[in-house]
Amino acid sequence: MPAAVVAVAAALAAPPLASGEGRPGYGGEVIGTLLGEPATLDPVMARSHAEIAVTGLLFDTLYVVGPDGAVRPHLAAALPELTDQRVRIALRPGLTFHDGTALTAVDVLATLARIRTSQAAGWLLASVADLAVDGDDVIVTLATPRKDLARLLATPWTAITPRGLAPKRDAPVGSGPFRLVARRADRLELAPWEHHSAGRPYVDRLTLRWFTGASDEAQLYETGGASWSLRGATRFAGASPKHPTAELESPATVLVFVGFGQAHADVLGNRDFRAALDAALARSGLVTVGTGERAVPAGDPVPVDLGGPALAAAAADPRLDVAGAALTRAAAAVPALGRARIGSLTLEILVADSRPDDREVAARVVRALDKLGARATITAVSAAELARRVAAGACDLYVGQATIELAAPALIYAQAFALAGDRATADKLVTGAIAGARMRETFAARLPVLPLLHRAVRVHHRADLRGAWFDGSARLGVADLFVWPPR
Amino acid sequence: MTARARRGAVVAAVAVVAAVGGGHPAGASRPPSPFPPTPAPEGGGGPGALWRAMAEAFDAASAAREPPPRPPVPVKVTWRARRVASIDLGAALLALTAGDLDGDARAELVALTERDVIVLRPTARGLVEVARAALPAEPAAIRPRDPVGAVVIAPGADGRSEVRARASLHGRGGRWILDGKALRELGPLAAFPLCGDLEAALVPGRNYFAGGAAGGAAPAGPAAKDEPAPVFHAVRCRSDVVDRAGRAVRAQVTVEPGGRATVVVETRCGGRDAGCVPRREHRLDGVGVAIELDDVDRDGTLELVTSGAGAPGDADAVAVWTLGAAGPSKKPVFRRGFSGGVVALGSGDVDGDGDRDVFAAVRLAGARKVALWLLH
Repeated sequence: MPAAVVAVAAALAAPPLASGEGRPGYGGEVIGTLLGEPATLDPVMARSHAEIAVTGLLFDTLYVVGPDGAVRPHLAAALPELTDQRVRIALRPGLTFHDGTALTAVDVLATLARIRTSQAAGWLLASVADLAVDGDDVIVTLATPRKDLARLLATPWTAITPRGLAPKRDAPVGSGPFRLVARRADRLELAPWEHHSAGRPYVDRLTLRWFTGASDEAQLYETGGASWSLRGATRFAGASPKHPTAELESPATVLVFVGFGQAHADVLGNRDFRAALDAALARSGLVTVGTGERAVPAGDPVPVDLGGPALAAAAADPRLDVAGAALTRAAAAVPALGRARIGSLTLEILVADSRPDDREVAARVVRALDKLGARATITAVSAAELARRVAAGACDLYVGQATIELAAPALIYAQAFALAGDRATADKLVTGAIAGARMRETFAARLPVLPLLHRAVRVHHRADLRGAWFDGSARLGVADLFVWPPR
Repeated sequence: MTARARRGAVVAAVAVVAAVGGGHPAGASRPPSPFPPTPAPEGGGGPGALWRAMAEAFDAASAAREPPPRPPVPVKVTWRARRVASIDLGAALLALTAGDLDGDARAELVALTERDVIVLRPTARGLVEVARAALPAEPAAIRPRDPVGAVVIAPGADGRSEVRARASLHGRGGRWILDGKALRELGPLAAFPLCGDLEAALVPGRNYFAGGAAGGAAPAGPAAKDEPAPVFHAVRCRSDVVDRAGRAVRAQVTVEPGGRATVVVETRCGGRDAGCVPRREHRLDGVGVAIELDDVDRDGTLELVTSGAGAPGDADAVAVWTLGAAGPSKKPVFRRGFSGGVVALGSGDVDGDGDRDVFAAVRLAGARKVALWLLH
């Protein structure tokens, strides 16, 4: 029962709301970290955990999922009411963007219209037949009834932007709890938005950093330069933190996967070659990826924490017989994969240089390719360059990251197809044209991406930083953090 | 004396009485006058009529006046915490108060959650929900990240007690009256009711109040001219207290961010009461938002009941302090720790025995469920 699993996961990650009834104080400067550099601040294009985390701070969605896992109105005044497949969404009064302009139904309409036509996130609104504005309300007409419309409109990709436009890279204007003050080479500097409809964040200043060195983040935290670390509390494993530290771990719902580009389209577009690579991967070793947080090797995009299938023991280790058979089938269609020629095939695996764990993952993909007889190299590039080359198809393979936002398997499979740019299949999954056992069969038949693991996010934070909690998709509730005792 | 002259004399007499004796708002119920009617002989012509008119006017004024306060009779109070109920309110509790809503001389408990106003009545088996009303549907334009609520019971225009409440998630508050087994909304409430007629508004987006609306609620002590408006988390006040000397006492406690409580005690001193201090101000640090003020043991000295000023997530405690002439007692007369957070405190005579009962609502994990503890 995914819903039950979600509830358990949410409860595990929920904040300790119930003890002590002092009120959080306002003030303090917090320096935190991201799981890498955000390549984009455009909600529609956000993919990685870092991008989802930052866009969630800068922008607001119509609905949100609370610490208890329940969907709540956020920019919307109330949960949607469905009448004859028409949904009327009223907005809260007095909403404003960071530049002081009013956030209106026109902005919501334009944003949803942009999402609907986007290749990246349009699948979310595949059931929407029409969008309109009626006075101060937005009217959504559904092609088929959806009880989960509010949940879909709580996903970070549906965040509202002014007039629905893509935000500027260095000066995004949202309505979220923080506004961007400055963007530097290795950090974002943010300030609280005083007029945020859900309340001004408690801290006075927030800096979010990312690193290229594997131990840089832990070292900064250890030396007192950061308020939290997502990659360990000490530079050397096993050492004790230098200052009082608490830790909290999210559900394992961040998908790490291998994606495919178009540079060797004949090879990498071949489903049997993908199946061969899938079978040659030594996934059992992926449990050690990271800095101690939970990593669950996966062959399916649906996380175990959300009711997905656990990786069978036989599938955790390389199945060279299965890989060999698949490679033989692939070679029949692609001569470059033949036994005599595959040795001259060199594939490039792109990784983001600000996600050191991905290099470790990529090394395992290299070994799997080696088992198939192919050579591979790892190229670390900036997150922006990675995103650009992936979008352009200008790569062979890449190690990607995606947060699983929705618990329904159909929507997770749809997200996986959307990651590979297959909007048509994603739409069919969302609208129910592909349902039941066919969802998994369709995924296995096409392998749009190769799931490798679902990882948790473990935050080590200073004990005087309170209010930490993770949502079901492993996002830290940064706006609720406060310094105690107040400085 | 003609009828016209007699009527004029009565009007003059009433005016004199009103000027010297004061009065109270029309419609408010008062206890009967402790004084016998003034003897007024029959006859006597014009002077006799004037005498009778004067007597009637004085009797009316006397009946309308508050009886002079009498020193309280102490009751024995043994402080101990006893859990009386554990109840799921359907949403997170924000505030609690107690007062007699149905005129049966027993106080009801009124709980304010994020969604509802709930009237509860203690029984031998725990708490029974008497009535519930949903808070107004209008969403707040800007709300604090941690929900804030305030509820008071105050006399309405017709003298009946009404509930006034507002929660920060909602765009307005409301006034309700207990009508049988239902809460009937009387009208909207723009500000947060703090105590009596005191109201205040939240600083937009933040979890504290600033300045004061009707009644001028604000932390005690005037702010300097250039200082920002004082801010505070909570205010409780008590105006039905009589000290040991029989003087009426009004007290107000204000909790500021950082956990400082400021208590102002105002005593109505007589003209020749040299030992009477008309205004005292005391401070206590480390105080949480849940707070109550009452003369629980009826000894003429207020008790200040406090929660702890710990962070959300920390263990909490209730402490009872005696508020003497020199300020709060050096040590609490009672202290009880809880593994959960003390979300609200309230006092009222819930069993009708004439003394005050103090309640603490302790929130358990999950937040919607609260344990209600009786503290003595």
